[in-house]
Amino acid sequence: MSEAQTGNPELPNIVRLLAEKFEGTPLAHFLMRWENIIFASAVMVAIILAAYFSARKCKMVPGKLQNVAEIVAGGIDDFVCGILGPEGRRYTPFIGTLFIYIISMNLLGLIPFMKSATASLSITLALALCVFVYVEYAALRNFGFFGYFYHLMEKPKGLMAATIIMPLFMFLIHFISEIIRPLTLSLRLRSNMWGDEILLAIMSKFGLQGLPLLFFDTLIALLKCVVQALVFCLLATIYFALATAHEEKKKEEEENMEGVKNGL
Amino acid sequence: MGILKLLSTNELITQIVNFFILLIIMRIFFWKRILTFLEERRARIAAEFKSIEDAKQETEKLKQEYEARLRAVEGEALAKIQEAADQGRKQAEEIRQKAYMEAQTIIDNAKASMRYEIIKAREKMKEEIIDLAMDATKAVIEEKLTEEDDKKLIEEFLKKIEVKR
Repeated sequence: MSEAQTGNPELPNIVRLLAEKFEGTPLAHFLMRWENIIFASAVMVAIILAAYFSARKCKMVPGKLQNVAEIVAGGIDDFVCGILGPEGRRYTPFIGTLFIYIISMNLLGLIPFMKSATASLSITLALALCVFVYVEYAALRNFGFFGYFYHLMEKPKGLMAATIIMPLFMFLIHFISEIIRPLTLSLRLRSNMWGDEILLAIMSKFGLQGLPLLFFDTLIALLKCVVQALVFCLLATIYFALATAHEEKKKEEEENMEGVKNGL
Repeated sequence: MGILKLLSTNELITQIVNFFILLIIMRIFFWKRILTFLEERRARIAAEFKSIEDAKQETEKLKQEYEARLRAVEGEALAKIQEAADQGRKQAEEIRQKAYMEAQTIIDNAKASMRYEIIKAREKMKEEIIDLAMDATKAVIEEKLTEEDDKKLIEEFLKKIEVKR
């Protein structure tokens, strides 16, 4: 939605300028309609190219690009495995890609004539839905279909199970919290980035006098871009941790049983 | 339902597809390669460290062995040196004793030889004195001498004796 549509101030960007230039043509219509997707796709292509060239020929003594790739990949892997344990490595590509993609889209908004695609709810909700689907898939795989329902009912036993109402109530609460997750994830990211864009747009209208303020706000926005990407991925990792908690516990129990058997 | 106004179904679906494509490409061309490589490097570094540690232990073991061997060799050498020194000292003592004995023999021989020579000289001198006395007596008896000549003759005789001594 443009400034004209929402009434909110927005910084000019290259796609919008092109659309204004070809106003009334199908190209302008296309550009206006797919503005966010164009920026998101541009980021996607840039990431793919950077990733491909950085990991094309891995050497024991890395070059500059490989070094950066190793730092990023290693850092994300440590972050994920730190929360999920060594078994969580299978989620590193998903969470890592998500992080790189979000932070790149966030930072794109700070470049003049570019736009942060994460300021659009459609974009952030799409990412949050991807997280939601993958988390639910991981949970169903770990707990099993009925096991997952049992887990959502807080594993009722004895008298608690006999009441039926309490487990159903717990199931309802958990179900709502599961459903609400993509909404909270997407709204948090979108609102922060959108707020930043509006703030930068307002500050830029102050002219030269507002330059120090604009500079300061850009620094804050820079920090916010990193923090918001980190928060999104941290929450996604925690959702995975909750979905795989049963698996870890089961393994621990199996290990304990093995230990007892060996002891006997 | 203000939020729904912000949503675009086309954007939503396209973005999901976009992310799915990105995820697949990144998984194949980036994550798989980089994570495998990092794991390989980690394993390689661990193996290198282990081999270094093993080599260190082996070196330490060899060092201890060499040190023990060196100590044994040093002990052996020291014992041999001690033995050689003792033997040398013994030989020196023997040589000294032998030399002393030889020297003593030489001195004794020399002394005996000297004693013999003295006796021999004395005997010879005695014979010469007797000859001289005989000659002098013969001369005194054969020539008619004055009192002054007698005196002179006796003095010459006495001088000769002095010279002979």
